[in-house]
Amino acid sequence: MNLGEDIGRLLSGYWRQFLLGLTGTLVLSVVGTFVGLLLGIFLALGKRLKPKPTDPWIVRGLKYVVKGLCIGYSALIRGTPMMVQALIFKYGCMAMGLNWNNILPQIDVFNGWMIAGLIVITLNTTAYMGEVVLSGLNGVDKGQEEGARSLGLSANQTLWSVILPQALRNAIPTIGNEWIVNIKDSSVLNVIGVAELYFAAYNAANESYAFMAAYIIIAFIYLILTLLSNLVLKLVGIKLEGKQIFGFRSRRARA
Amino acid sequence: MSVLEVRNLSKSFDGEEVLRDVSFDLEKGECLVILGNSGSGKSTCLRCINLLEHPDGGEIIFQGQNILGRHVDENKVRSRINMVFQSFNLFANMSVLDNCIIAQRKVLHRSKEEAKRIAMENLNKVGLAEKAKAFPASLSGGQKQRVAIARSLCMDPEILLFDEPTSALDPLMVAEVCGVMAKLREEGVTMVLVTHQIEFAKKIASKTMFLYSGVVDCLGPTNEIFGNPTPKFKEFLAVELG
Repeated sequence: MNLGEDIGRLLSGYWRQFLLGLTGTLVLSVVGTFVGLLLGIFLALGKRLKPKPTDPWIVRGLKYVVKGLCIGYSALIRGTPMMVQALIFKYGCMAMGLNWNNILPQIDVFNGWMIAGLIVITLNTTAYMGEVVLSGLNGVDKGQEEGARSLGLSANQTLWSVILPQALRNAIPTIGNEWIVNIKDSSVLNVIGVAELYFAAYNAANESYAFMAAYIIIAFIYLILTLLSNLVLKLVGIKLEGKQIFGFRSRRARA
Repeated sequence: MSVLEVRNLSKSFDGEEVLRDVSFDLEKGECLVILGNSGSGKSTCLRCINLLEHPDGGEIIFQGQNILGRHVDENKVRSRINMVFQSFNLFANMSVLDNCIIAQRKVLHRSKEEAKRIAMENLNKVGLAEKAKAFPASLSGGQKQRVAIARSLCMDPEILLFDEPTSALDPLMVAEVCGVMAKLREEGVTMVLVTHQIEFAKKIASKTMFLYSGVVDCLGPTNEIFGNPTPKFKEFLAVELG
């Protein structure tokens, strides 16, 4: 048996599984990245809380607690592998009597484990996005805040209308990077039975004994996915460097 | 009646005294120019009035109310006393028009149409109505500062504070921004100006204050202050005018 034949055999016999796996990987990476970004914004805001001596003691105490929780969450998630997090999540849920197997078991990809996987990858991405948004926020010129406050805008109005849009715009390349990382790293979620691309290849390989061929096929699919994603990000980058968004001409012209 | 009374203002940063016992009055329609060397506390004084800094002591009485007291709506005060910055601080994510509209909408709760009309009026006043759709990044320094002035004017402020508005500009642009300020002066806008443009200050100011290491060295009608300068002010003028 040679490799070429094996690949052909797998593609004709298991194309549906690979396609479903691909769908799973895409859903995981896209949902994880975007929901993670959304939650990451709040994580960053929590880490940025500044308890002031002028605050009433209960407000100040609350700020310290929230800030501490956000810092702790970020350290915990970024300091442990997602594969381990997934397993702890799975067995933690089971210990509490929640078996994801019993939720939506009738569908191929979008079964209970996919939902568990979505939760894990989102919670994981949130920690990283928190850092991305935080550095974006810190990168916005302090004058922007002073300009807004001096006109009478409140701290919240200033944040949501002036500071955050600029922080997110500056963070777009890093946010894109997180997406590419998620495309590849979602493969570890197979440990809890999420039907993504690696999971599909693993099953196909075990049924057909064409191990090498199965993994070469998904390596190729991952590569195409990340290359395409890079291309999309480049196009977005070019568009941002142009005049269309916020009127910036280019990074160099701005400097 | 004075629109603004500053009494014994003092402020320290990390134990270093930046302002000590600074007091002055501002009548409606007056233009006070604050002069002084770098680090003499001019900017800090303005920032205290705009509540961007919180003074350690003293009172700032605006329209009869001490704005340093408790239970003061700081955002409301700031919307009545506006500040124009050296570095413009235009919102980079908004067009010129939106820069002028946002605070009117969110702070003064004006309707969209009204805010737009007022914004265009004020952009017209500073000669930049045709740039309404442009973004700050595509404007020259002088244009940015004129937009910043228009943005403040849209709030119908009682007092306009200018913190070295021309220091980041080249001479040609200084002239265009000074032109706008002179026009506002003619219209009777109450303002406080911190600047290093001595000649312009002389022309525009009804009252001049000279700060020396955080202390008021002299304060009075401009022609008196310049006509009969104190030794320290004389020294300052000699250095500034070369």
